[in-house]
Amino acid sequence: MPAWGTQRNWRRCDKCQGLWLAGNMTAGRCPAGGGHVKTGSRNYALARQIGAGQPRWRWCNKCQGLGFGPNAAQSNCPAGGNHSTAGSGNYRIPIVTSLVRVHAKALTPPNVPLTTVFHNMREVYATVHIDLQWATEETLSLPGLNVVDVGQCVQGQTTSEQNQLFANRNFVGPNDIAVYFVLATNPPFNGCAAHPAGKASAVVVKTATQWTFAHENGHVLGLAHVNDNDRLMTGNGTANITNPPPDLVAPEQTTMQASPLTVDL
Amino acid sequence: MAVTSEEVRAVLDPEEPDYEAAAQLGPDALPHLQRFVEGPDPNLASKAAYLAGRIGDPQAAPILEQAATSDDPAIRAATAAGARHLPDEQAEAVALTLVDDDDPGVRKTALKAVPASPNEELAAKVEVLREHEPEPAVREVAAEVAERTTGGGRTPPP
Repeated sequence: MPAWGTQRNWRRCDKCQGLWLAGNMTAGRCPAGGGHVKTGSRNYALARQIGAGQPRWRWCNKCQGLGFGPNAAQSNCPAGGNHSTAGSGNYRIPIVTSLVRVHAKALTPPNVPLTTVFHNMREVYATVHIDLQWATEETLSLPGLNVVDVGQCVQGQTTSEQNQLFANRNFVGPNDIAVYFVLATNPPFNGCAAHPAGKASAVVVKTATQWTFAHENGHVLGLAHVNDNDRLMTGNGTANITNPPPDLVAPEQTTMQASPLTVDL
Repeated sequence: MAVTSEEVRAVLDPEEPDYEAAAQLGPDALPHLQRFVEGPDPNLASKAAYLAGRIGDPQAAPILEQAATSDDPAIRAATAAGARHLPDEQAEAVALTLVDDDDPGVRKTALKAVPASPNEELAAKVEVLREHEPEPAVREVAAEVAERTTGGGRTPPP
């Protein structure tokens, strides 16, 4: 499993308007006096180690606030002196406010490693404040489904082979997505996101690009193709993405957030 | 009107190509598809082999026969899928090569390309798979094919 993830329980202080970690049994020290107050704040999750956004933001173990690590020596901590970042993770901004859980099930390992495709999806989705959780990874021995018939690959219309494949749902919750990595589809696609109701799934083939995984998950979340090679959902092939990482735009964010598979943090 | 390599590439590049529309490019696309099949990109080669068959023109047969010998099972599977759209005798030739492939996914896909009246040699191979195929999903397809075909109605081509 990956050595990265998100840390929840970051809150906006209603007094100083700063971000502080509310999970340490202390309200820390607020520049406005006393401890921080989380009243009215959403529960923010910060991406750690990798993903989109600016790295090297650090937690202060004295005031519980978030500060930019490289400038800690010039900072003024409300608890006195400089911020102290000992024990802090390496946090990235922007902030994600919702989460998609994806399970990887490999019949054939993809040419682009799973760590890369998950990282890329996470990087792109973070730009619309959606985090990705790599929920589980499983190897499936199903030689008869390794070339899977996907028919016309139309949403809501699945073949018996897709139905057989998507029945393999160990560890997959009702609002989770299962992505099956296969040798090939019939006919040959890079991936296909058509799935039966209630079993959010997609297939991705061995020779797919580094962006196919994020693209197919976009379909699962309700996105359609666009004619713009700067965007993840280009219908011209993700191999032709001109300005990586590709973009998601505001209306797509709205669609994705409306999906029952996108869960508020 | 002549079809350019760029036009053919453009219909194959999408994650999910619209093969029905792509087939409208017709036989003029075949020389470009042959180059893609021979090229270094296995993803493009798979799509090109399938589309060559999907165009359904007898001139596509040599492209699929070549692709059927690829070292890459994904390309062979795409070839088997494309063969289904060729005229019967040519589909039969590709199926004969691929129904006893080492890869079960290729065997399964090749079985689906077996025409309604296979020659004796192909019918015999289908029967062997129906009886002895180790992979249940492939054996099941072999049984379906044996059921829907007349089997042994024609002799193999010389």
